Amino acid sequence: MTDRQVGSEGLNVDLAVAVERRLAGGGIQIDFSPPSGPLAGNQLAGLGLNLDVVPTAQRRLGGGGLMVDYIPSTIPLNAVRWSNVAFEAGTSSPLVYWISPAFQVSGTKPVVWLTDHFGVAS
Amino acid sequence: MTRLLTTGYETGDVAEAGALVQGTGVVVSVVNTAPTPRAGAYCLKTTVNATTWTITTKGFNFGLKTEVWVRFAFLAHQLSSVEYMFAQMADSAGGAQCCLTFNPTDGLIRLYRGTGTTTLLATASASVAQDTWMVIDWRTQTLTTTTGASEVWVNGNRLINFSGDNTNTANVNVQTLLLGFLSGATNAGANGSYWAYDDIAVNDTAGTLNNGRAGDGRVILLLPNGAGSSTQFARGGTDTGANYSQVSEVPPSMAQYNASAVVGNRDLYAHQDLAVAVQAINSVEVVALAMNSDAGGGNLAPTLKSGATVAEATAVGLTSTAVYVGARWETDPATTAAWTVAGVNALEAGVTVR
Repeated sequence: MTDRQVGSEGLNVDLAVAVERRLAGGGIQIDFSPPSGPLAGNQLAGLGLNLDVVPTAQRRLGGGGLMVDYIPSTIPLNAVRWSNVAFEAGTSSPLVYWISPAFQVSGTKPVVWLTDHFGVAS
Repeated sequence: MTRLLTTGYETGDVAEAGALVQGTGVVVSVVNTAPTPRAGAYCLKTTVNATTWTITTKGFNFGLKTEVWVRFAFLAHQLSSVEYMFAQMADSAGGAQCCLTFNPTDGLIRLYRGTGTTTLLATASASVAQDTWMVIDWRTQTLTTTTGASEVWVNGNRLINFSGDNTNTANVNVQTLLLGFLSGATNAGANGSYWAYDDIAVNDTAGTLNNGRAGDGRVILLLPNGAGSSTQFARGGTDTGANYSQVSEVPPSMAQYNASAVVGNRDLYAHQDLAVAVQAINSVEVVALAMNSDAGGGNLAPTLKSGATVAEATAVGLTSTAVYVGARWETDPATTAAWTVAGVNALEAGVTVR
């Protein structure tokens, strides 16, 4: 409450300025310089536009990605596969297994290609 | 459809997942070296950096359950001979139900009821080595306040199989997995010790997929590397020249972003391909660091496009603080069948304003 009373006293100061303006009108002090700013003219203490607006709130995406939980393949990259025409590797053709004395299309440890010869995955 | 949680901290950001309880004398970080992550580029690390420390954990709330399978890769670097907890199951009220410890002296993992090393329930049937990643699958089933079951598998071998009272509280449930230094101590010899964690996942037992032991899964992050079929967001912050490159930095940040205020606007991106040989894909999740531009409400829906099928997840409410949001698909929405490598590689992912 004390602070508000001080604010009212500020308005009293404005009235004192008006007295000075009257003196200027009398021509007594022709070199009178009126106080600058709002004290010099009609005074407007406050003004505002009361609007009801819908804000354009942005949704911001700063980063992200695809999180994948996978189980790695236990099939060696050099596993040998049979395309019904030829041996190959790195394709999705069926794996080749060696069950003595022949290649098979089922088993537990696939045949692998080791640079220049066949082997069996460990 | 029962994957409840997945994280490998592949964003490189410790805030990606888990609620942090930060005590003293322990640093929680995400690292790409010391140790080398088990999969992907990053892992979680909790390091003692004082002679005295207090409880410091990451807590993963997966919802109230009576049976869960938790999987995480674990690496122990313990410089003292003292047995400490490295994982704990807490109930719906936050009370400890049971915990796992590692004893560097004998290399054995032990299961205790409650917190600490008071009530021993079971000891692993084989030892494990320090400074080597191991994959731990931990089943906790709570039946009554006196009956339940716990299993601990390490690298595919069941080392603990316990039936009995594994609940320490009156609540017959579990809700939170806690990882880190779960007890305080004074031990000068342990200064510099750390626990590292990677490839964290939680399954319950419902549904037909991800309804049991998660096994040898690895968590990786495929980053945006091209424009998708919808580009409706505007670039903000530092302009990298394309929408996809605004959101591909690791760790993610809001210094460069894509934004829209128009409900229905969608940004989709192409992503990196899987660069590993894959036996099976357990889950695919959209991970996004997102926020509102002001304190007003706003939502983003994580979105996938697989083939011609657009799958929009439930929209997530945002605040004026950037947080990680996401959504999970356990099957390919285009086929409703298990994910394939080709299906993942062809995916577009992004978000939709809601």
